[in-house]
Amino acid sequence: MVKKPPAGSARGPEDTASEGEGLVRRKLTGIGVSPGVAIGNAYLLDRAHLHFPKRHVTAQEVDAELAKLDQALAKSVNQLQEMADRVKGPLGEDHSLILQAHILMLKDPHLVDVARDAIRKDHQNAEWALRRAVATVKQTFDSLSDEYFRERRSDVDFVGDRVLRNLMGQQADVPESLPKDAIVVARDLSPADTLSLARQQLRGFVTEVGGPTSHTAILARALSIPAVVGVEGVSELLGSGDALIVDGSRGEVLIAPSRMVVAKYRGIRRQHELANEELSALRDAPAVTLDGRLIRMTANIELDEEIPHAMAAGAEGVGLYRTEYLFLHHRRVPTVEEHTESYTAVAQGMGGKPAVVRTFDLGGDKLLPGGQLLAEHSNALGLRAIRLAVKEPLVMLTQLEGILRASAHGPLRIMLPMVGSVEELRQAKLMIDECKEKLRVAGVPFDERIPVGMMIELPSAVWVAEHLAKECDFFSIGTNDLIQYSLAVDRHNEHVAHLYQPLHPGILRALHHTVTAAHAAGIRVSMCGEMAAEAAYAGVLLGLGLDELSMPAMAIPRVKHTIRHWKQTDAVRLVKELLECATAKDVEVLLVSNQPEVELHPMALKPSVAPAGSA
Amino acid sequence: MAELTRDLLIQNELGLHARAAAQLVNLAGKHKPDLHLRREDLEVNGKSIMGVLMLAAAKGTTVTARAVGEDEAALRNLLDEIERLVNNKFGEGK
Repeated sequence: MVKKPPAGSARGPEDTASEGEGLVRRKLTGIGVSPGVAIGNAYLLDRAHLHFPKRHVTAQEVDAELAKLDQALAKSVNQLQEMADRVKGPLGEDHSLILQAHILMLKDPHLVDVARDAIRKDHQNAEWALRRAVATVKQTFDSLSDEYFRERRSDVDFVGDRVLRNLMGQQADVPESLPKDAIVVARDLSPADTLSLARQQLRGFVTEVGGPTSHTAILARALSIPAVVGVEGVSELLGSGDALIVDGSRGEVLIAPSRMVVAKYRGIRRQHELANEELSALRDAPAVTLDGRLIRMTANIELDEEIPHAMAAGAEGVGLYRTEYLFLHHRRVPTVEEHTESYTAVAQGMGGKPAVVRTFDLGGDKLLPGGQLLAEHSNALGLRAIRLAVKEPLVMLTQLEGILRASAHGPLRIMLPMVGSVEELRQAKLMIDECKEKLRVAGVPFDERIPVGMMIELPSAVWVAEHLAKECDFFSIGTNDLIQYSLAVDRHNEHVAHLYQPLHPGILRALHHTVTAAHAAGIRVSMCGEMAAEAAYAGVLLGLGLDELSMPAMAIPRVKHTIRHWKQTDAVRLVKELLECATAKDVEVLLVSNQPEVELHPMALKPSVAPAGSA
Repeated sequence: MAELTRDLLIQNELGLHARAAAQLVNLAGKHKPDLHLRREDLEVNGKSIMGVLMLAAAKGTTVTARAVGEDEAALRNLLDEIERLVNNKFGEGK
């Protein structure tokens, strides 16, 4: 969906006043992944476009160049060794071994001897020689057929880059402290970069690659720092210290803004702050309608680091903990210990509030025989999630055991994705029983009564919901997939994206059927898709009878505020009428005319996405 | 010059990936004899991490280790330690 730029964001006459020296004033667009406004100076963490001197040296200079190379190599080894010594914590050993591998690369004849030869025989300067050695090694890796080993090219780049920076007397690491008002600009951020940046004072992030679920985006949201990703060419356009504004709500980056524009954005930033203050005052208020119906508000998370942020936003629990990151991060199927460690961190971080752990929703195309993982995107109609779990029970059993072991440390729930039939639900439950029995025999403590629920995201599940509800403890509706499968629309396909209509009467009826079936069986229904995060839909979801809404933490105050302005009786009456509508347009018109007045600072409701049809 | 060879079955989930290779190369580096590793037609220097990674030895592949040096006891000692590391699955999964 496209967010409309609010009035006044177009270039005004003030933008034509020239102030920047040499830097062209312009506006770039990307994907806003963490809202808010940052005003500051670019701090370039540029890994890809390092320009190095390239020249032939004289015979007399050869020894000096060789010495220079040796010094830079030794310095790089020392830096990595220091970093390895400093890494602590549960993942310490893992990280430290990766750094050890990088240290060994710096001493490897494949790299060092090739670079030395280039200096000695071809009289290339040290930088040039090193780059050539790196390119040679990468070529060899290119020819490997195994994806994992081929990808070690990036490790070679990582060490090569470090040596090159040391050769040129440049900073090789993210510095201990960034300059004041730093906005980090990079093509991409390595896991090491993001880790060390997390401990710094910075105002915002801008990267060329990445999407809403990239590590940078997750980190930015967790830290409540404005971020825009997917801004093509930004690291080429900016130099360190260049003035810029990042608008994480609109996904815009303004380079060399005029004083007038800066003043305008200071105002917007102040409005954001005011709105946030108003909304955070709502943190401890319940999500209750004017006539007393209470809704549970929970958060969708991907990393345990997000929990404090979710709690601060007023989450009463975690309604969806996505576990795919764990698989993709390790680039293979995690071990029982790794699963247990992650889920225990979540269970312990929740302070007694429940967390719903969703078993992996990955495609079979990502699993290699060796247990390694491939690619990023699952095939929507293929072997994924629960289907893969049934086919590869070991992968599922490993994860289930991890969840069960962690359930001894705090209230956890198991949620099964992509269940399309009662048989699949039964098969998954058998696996859970098998794990429980194994732990019982081994005398490992776990929650014997851990609730097991399922996602409702396939139309087939909707229409057998009566049967499914009798055999599980809760439903959670995943609207993104449910809408995609019901309407046969891939919303990333620009030709049909406009047909992705959450308010399609067919969708409303499916939701209504699901909730009715669940309540008849006496189980609770949650919604964890994007529809739940949309304040404009709050009335519809209330009227349909959902018990819980789970969403990105930052959406909670806004949706809660809206719920507090609805009357449950009005919502129920409205939904009755909506279910009789013939078109999405009719639904939308009726919904808009029935929205209650929501008194709040105008900015607080701004980031909202327009209702279907108007986007 | 003496020479000893031994076949090693890679059993850990990840194969000779970066972390495992680092352990193997570190271990070989502590020993005097030369170490060569061969998988199918490719033989690499067992004291070079790039070399070991280039073997792309996934779980289930067999790698032949060849130790070369003056002292046969030292060769056997090196191969024993390498074999132990491989059979211990490089400490993965404990």
